[in-house]
Amino acid sequence: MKILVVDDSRIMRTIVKNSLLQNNSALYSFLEADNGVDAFNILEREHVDLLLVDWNMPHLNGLDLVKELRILPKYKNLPIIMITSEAAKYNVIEAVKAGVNDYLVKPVDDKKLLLKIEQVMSIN
Amino acid sequence: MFKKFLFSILYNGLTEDSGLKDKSRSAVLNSISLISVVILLSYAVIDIIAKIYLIAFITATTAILILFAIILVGITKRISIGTSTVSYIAFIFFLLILATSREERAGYFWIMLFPLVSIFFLGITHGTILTVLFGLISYFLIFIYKGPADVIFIHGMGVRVMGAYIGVSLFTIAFEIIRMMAFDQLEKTTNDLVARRKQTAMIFNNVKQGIFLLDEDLVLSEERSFYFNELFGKTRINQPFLELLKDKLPNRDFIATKDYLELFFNKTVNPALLSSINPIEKVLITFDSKKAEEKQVWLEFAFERILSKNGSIEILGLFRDITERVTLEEQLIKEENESIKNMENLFQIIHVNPELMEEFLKDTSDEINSINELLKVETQDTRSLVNNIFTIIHGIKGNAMLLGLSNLSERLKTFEDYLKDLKSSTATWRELLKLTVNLAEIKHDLDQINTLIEKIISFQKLTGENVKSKKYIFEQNLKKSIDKLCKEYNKDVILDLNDYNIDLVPDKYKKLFKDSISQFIRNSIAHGIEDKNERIIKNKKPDGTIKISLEKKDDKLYFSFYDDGRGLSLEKIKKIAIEKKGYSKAQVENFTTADAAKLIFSPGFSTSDKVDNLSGQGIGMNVIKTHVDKVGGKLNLRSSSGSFCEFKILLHA
Amino acid sequence: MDTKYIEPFIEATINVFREFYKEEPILRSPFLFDKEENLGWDLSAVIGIAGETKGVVSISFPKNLIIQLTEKLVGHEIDSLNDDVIDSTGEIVNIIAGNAKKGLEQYRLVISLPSIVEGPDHKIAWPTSSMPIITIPFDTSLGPFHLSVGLEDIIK
Repeated sequence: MKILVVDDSRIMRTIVKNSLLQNNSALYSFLEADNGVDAFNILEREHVDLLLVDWNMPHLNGLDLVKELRILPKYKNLPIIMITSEAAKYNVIEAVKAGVNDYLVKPVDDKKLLLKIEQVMSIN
Repeated sequence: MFKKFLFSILYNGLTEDSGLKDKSRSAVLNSISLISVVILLSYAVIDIIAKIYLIAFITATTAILILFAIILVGITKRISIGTSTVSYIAFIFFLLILATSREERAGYFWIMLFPLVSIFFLGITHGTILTVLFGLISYFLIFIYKGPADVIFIHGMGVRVMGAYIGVSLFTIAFEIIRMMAFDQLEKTTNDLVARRKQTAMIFNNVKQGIFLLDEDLVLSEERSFYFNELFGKTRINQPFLELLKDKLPNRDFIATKDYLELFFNKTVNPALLSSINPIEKVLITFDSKKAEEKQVWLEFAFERILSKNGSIEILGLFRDITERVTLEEQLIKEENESIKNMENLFQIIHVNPELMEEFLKDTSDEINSINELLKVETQDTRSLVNNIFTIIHGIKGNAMLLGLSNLSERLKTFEDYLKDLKSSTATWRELLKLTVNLAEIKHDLDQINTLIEKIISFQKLTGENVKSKKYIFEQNLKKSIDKLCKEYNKDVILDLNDYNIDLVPDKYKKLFKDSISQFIRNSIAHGIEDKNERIIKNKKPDGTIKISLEKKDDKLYFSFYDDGRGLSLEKIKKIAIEKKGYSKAQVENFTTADAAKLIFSPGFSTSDKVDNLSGQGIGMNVIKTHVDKVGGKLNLRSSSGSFCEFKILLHA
Repeated sequence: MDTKYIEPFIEATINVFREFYKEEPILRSPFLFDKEENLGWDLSAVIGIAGETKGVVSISFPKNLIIQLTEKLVGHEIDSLNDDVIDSTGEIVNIIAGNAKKGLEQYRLVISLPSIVEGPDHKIAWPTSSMPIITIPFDTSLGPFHLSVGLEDIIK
């Protein structure tokens, strides 16, 4: 499964990758971007199975990226999980409204992340 | 109408809670009775026409008796009266017919009815006994009495009649037993059903839970629980759910709810995520009622996505009234806060000298009482009343802050602010009431602290715990003595200790500092600082200032005592020099401030006009000078006539 | 002052330290921070809060502590305040501010991207308003650090 991890913090990207690799390193392969614009370009270039995206990022933030993607028919069914520090309920509602399939609040819990990926992949 | 009338006759004598058995019995009883009354009365008429008066009389009497019994049943609501009466009447009547009937012994047929009537009406036991008795009497009438003499008795016929009677009786008993069992079973089932229906109704009607369904347009379906309607009132058909909520909760929650509910129709959103972000999981709903008071209810909402048969998504909504729980929680939090406050007080108290604390509490409680006394005095001038209270509260607040009682000083501060507002205009009784309530609250706080003090005083250790309060003790003592002196000399003085760090004073200099400061203060108030009027004339601030400071630089201590009074009066000093020290006029002619200072620090010198018990008690400037000299320090005096006087002491730390 | 507005920040701090650094920071007594005061930290991560109230959250470390904490996180030795340190400290303050929003849900708030101030005796440009700043000192097994929170009109 090819996963695109978008976060402006390299360490955060590493943490997310590691928590998945710990579980099953053979299953996942990763692409990385540190802002929304780069993420968009990668998506245009390569096939991605799952998008893990942060909210607060320079250039194009995660929320706007998701909104942009969902406008385009080819990304309508792309599974997206937002991983962000934003914990307020109104933020989650906003993100789900924008089109994310699930939402995870940092600091990331390995088990929760795995469970959410499983759920999102099965729904879509 | 007719049906109703018929039913009322049929169920004559039944009560609301009558069971099925009674119902069937009553129906049969009433119908049989009525039919028999009609038939019997017709027979009676026929008999009268036939001039058989005895029979006619018996028949008519029976009919009337039955009618009477039925009416009695209707009045007393006791079917048993009817059933027994009818049974016994039948008993007598049938036997009479058996005994008297002539034509082909028609009575033989009648008696077959009796087991049916008696067993059905009176039940197995009672009915069977009566049936047996009836059988025995019938046997006597058939075989021994044999009826009227002119009617031919056929023995074989009698045997057959008795046989048939026994057969009918046994069959009726068996039938009744089966019938009763069936009824029991039926009744049990019915009762269960009734109980269950009652229960369901209770749940829907009494349990404060709302259940409702929303379609894709967030429109309410008609199925919803009773409580939903009770709370939200009557709704129109195709009522949009959000419309009901609007204006009942904060707009922000309303918008969030709208956004939230719309998310349910996106099948790709994880349901677990949805349930975790419910914005009205716990919400205060305000119902605008026409009455003066609006009703507020805490509701707990839950929503679930359900798929209907045709594949469309619906939302199942549930809500519960949790007002009671929320109120309870709030109560708990309040109590918790109270105990946190207690802990805080405790924590601060154990860092403070308990004697000091006690003194503070005593003083404060006295002052609170004095406020209360002020309040007791009837006055129109609330401004000056509020002003007086303000001054007292301000003082208490200062002390509370010094002692680190942050809760109390916070409260005092709020109170002070409130008083500040009140000072500007004449207070209404409502405002004064609030003032008193505030006072009560402060008293409550003080009482709590007092209780705590009593609790901890037993294990309070004094060692080294009173560093924090040193300055306070010092300041309090100083203030007290200044107040005393001011009263005596009718002066007004503000004490400034901002730059005085008492912790810099080494133990070896404690006595020197204590003595010097009290001497300087006496000196200032008695001689230096002018009274209010004089100061105003001289264009000075009405209140005099005394500023004491202490600084440490390298290994030196710099002490200063400053007042903004009239300074050294050279004229006065010259005069005293001549009068008390034997100086000549020429000697004092060119006196400088330095010379004057020297003189002041010499033994037996006082500029005071009168020897009073306050300034006169001073140990004298010369003692200070001697003490400073002894420890190798320097004592200096700076003064400007009419504007200030400053004593400076330089010491090795 | 109502402590319930400060508590979310403290809880978030403890939580993120637990998750990131496997540390259980211990609270010491909070105090009012004087903007002019220089507490001699080597690195601070600051995040601005805007929306229905304004505020600032900062977290300040001595060099040794933040380096050791980051080493725990990345799993290799670090000899200076490098990108990893700056990256992770920014992420920490971002998580603290983001998570704390949950406890302040009656205010709609937006948080800025974190910025890092470093150097011995560095100063943070606090807002010039009279907003009080509450500093909460923490102790970890590797040394102390400070969390400072200022929220206009909320903390009085």
